[in-house]
Amino acid sequence: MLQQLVNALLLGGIYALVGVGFSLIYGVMNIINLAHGALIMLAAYTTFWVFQLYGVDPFASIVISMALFFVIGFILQKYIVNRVVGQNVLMTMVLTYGFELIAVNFALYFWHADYRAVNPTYAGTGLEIGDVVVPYIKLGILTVAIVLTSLLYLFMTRTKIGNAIQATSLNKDAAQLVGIDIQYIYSFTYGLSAALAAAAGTLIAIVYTVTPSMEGGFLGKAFVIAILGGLGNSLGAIVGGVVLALAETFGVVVFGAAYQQIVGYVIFLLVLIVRPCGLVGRRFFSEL
Amino acid sequence: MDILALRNVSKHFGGVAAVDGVNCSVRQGEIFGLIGPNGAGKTTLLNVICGLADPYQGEITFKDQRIAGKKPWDIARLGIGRTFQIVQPFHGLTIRENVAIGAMFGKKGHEGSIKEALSLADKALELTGLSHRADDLATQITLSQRKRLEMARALAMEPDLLLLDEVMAGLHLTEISEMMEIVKRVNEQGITIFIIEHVMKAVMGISHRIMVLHYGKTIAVDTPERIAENSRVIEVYLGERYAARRAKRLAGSEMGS
Amino acid sequence: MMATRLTFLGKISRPLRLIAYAALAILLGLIPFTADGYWVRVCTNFFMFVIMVEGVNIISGYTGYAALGNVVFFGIGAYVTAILMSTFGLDFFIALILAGIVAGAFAFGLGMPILRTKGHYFVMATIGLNELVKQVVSNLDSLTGGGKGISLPIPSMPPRINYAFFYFVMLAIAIICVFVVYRLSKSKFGYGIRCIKANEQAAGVMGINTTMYKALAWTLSAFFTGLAGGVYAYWQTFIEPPVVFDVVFAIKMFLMLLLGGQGTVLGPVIGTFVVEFLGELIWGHAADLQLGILGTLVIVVVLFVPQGLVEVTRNKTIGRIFSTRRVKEPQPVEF
Repeated sequence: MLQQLVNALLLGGIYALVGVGFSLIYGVMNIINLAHGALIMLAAYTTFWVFQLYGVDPFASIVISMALFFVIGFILQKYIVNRVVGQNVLMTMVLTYGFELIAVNFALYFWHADYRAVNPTYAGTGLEIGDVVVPYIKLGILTVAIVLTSLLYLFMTRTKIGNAIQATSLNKDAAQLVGIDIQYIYSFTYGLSAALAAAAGTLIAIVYTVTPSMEGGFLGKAFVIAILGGLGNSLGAIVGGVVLALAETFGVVVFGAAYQQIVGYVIFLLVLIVRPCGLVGRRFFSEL
Repeated sequence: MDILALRNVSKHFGGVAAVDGVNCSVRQGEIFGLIGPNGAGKTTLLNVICGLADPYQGEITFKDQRIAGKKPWDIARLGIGRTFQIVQPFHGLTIRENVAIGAMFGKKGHEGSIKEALSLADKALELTGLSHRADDLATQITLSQRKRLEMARALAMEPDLLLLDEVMAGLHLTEISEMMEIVKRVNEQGITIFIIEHVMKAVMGISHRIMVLHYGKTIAVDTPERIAENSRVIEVYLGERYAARRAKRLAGSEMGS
Repeated sequence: MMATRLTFLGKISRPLRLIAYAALAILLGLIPFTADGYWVRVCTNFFMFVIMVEGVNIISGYTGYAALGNVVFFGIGAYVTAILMSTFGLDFFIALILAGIVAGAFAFGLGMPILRTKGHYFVMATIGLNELVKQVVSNLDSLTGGGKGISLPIPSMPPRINYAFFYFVMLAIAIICVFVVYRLSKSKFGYGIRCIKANEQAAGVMGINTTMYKALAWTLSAFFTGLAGGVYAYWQTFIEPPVVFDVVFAIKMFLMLLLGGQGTVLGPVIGTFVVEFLGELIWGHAADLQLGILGTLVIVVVLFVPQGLVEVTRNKTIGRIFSTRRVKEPQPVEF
């Protein structure tokens, strides 16, 4: 039981990272970024290739993939997504799914549907505390996840651009009035979200196999995590990630391995219908 | 006879009471004005009545029927029509179609055909002076016309009670007097009117009785003339210091005479 | 409004229109007997998408609820047909009708709670629903065959007749579906759901039972989508969860809907026609680039034809898009 709890917490770190970037984009631009899973997948491949070809340690390659995907995200937003921000739900969602399709096709075309894995030498070793085993890799992942989310929090609260992002998400008209270039903020936000997705993808590549079809699963996870934490609430996504990890881990214990995904989606739908503001969010009221 | 009666109605948002224990009754055939400073809870009260702010506490009866917990469309079919402060036309539909929606789904909605609804719409358009714009889209008309569209749409529902939410806000003087005429004409057809209005001249001019709301509480219900004299109302609108000075002045002039 | 949206057909005089219809009917009737089997399949596929896109048009185009996960009803229809035919030995047409009804009932039952969510939340809920049902079907091995899929009885017809059979079944359902949407667009119900799309709160206050109307619209949408799934299952004789609950399918549906024009009767037919046949010409030759081409097409449509082709031709903006020289010239008023 204790082992399960530890596993869930370690998994929760990755999930939090998957959800934070996804929720961030929604919070600032009201866009459900259906390309989020694809970004994670491409980053996982980046990690794999950098490790395979140049022997770069996967933990070190986080920096590389984050920088790379920040640039990619920034460009995508600047030249394409910015043209449809504020249009109806369908347009923006379908557009981002266009990216997803292209990315998947790209991966399938060049790397085929093969399963690939990153195997650093320290894989398989772990810390033993009593009966509980904590693999070093997963401990490292959790540490990275905590460090990154803390950095994000500091960035959002302590830096000028972080404040500008928050201001834009609260009220874009007011933000514009005080001189914030919201087009730039949007691009920066997408870049930031893509970088976080890249970090998640890199960490995922260390513990899971990498394949072009992994994007769907992680996009689905991003949905569940973001809704659990309150859509658009990026810090809530951390809670959402941990809750989902716990639910999945114990769902498997109670119902069996086949139900891992089902548990997540059932919770997702229930929260959406009963408490759309998320587990930790507050309801908003407005007059007509 | 009372057409609408509110007993101890309260509506809370989180910890804030937007409407706080309101009691009032609207008589059949009158124009009942509701005024109050910004944030007094006027629109919330309207939403409560027409079923948009469920759940709430207290009891509301319309034509001796309890309407608490009923859905907006059920309340609409009982014979309550309303307009919105921020106009909410149906985009993609022409003016005539917009108004016909009221006839199609309003009080007798389930009976008539689309054709009948359209001819009812034409009547409502004429009453509100919009006939010449019938085939335009709702996006192509002016604010004053959109306010009248709101009104026409609600009228086409053939309501017994019409709730008007600031139909004169943002209009200039001639438009305001036109709108006052329309409201009076509608009332002469036997439709009871419950009107929220910030334009004092208008609401004082057409209402038979007026209720004043302040922080969700009723502070006065009376005829327009007596409301204008009510010291509590003056205090709310113009501040305590003004009210005190005025009271002193009045006392002084009485002594002098 | 609806009448004006159909101007490009309505402007043609009545006898000409009748001749056009007759010619179309003859053409459609002849295809399965003259064309190559490959093209008969492509046409059947086209009709199938017409059904699904009209289905999604009802809930998304008219009612304003973008049910991106509508493909779930396709999967349900396919599985119900498969199970009823292979496990219970039911006749195809009975199984098919039941498939439509089950899909519709599913939409009605779930619609009540799910349609309470709006905007992004609704879209996500429908995608989540699709994933959930996909997972459940993949794990109910005893009933659905689980992840391994399920086979249907193979129709005992010679290939040529087999092709023609599915061609005409799909065509018939597609025609019924377009006709229903046409009637719908002129009915009180149609006005009701268009008002919900335009302004749900105002619609409720005008006496429209928004909860019921939304649920009914989704039910109708699901019924047709389920029928398409049912025919597809028998046509393919084998189905598996990743195929019939594929989100890419759903995206393709929305691409067709957007391209044709939401909330119009013929938009979905036009959009589907363009994507299906254009697509067939392109990815018939480059199968391994199919997804990428679809993705590119999606981006292009969202950026450049967001109103849909029906609206574009109506506004003559098509001229503006394709002529680079005379951008500022005043537009001709008459059609």
